Amino acid sequence: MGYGPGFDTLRVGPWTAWLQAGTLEADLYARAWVARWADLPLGSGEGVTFWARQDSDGRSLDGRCFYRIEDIAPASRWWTLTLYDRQGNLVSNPARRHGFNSTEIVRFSGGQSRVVIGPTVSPGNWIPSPKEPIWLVLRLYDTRISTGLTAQETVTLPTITREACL
Amino acid sequence: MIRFSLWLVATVMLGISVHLASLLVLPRFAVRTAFGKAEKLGPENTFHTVPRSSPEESMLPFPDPSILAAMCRYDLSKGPVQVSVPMTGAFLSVSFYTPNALNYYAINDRAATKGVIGLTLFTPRQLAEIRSREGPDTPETLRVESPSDKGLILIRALIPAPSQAGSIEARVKMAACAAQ
Repeated sequence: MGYGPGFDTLRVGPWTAWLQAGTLEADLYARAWVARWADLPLGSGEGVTFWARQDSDGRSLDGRCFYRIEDIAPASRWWTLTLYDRQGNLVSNPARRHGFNSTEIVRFSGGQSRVVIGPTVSPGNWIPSPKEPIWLVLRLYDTRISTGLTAQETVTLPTITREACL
Repeated sequence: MIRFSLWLVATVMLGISVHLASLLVLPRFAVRTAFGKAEKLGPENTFHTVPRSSPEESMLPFPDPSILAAMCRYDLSKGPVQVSVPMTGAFLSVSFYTPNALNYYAINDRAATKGVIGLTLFTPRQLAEIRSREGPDTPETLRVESPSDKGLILIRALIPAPSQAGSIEARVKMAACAAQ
């Protein structure tokens, strides 16, 4: 699976979004993606989906490693962060934890938050990972990014920092 | 040498045609996927809640576990369809897709009036007809034009915390998508 060389992509650090994926303005590549994965992409006015398959240093995301996801303060009313395997499935785990949303996440006193991803139990907002390559998907619901973004530098998205690997 | 170049040109041409052909053909199968899966949920012109996604079962790839979804396959061939979706207190969006899963309209809870998103879905011809019949003082209602007779409406309701799942699902079950 790949991103496909879509022409309406927005890249911010490790994150990539197709702003017009699945709209009538979608290019051939985005349409083929939708067809392949039978996805019903978010429309503009609903939100934007950001995909990451690499960390902030450009290394492929691997469930055998621990990651810190920080600076989660996107310009949206709601957000969700979800972990998938490379086939787009949620990964079963005893904690039944596949991600976090902006309401359930536990924040520091300053309002900032951090998510930890890794194969063994970790303190804080922990998402258990399988011992295989993974995808992270950040969805911003009701964000002005989807309703016509002009300056790319106004988008701030979380960093993905790799720590130890098993 | 000329013979080799000819082979090279032929190979490159073949590669380009296969690439373009698959790009063009792939979306046709989408009709059988997202739309086809919606068919299994139940009859047309009614919302059906999509079972919550789990590692074992998911109707769509990359499901958002915080979202409760409901789908309505509509058919405008017998007339416009009235859509009414009650709000839940958290994020909720209603989006409209052609049978090959292209989004042509979306609206979210901030646009609701009196706690409901209400609108009527028309074909371009139905919309032109009703506009020609009515006078200038007809009250403004939200009208959406569907590019195709058939399509899919998807409700996405955010469930901020598991404890709210029951009440939000009950609200979403009140959503209607019915021929006028």
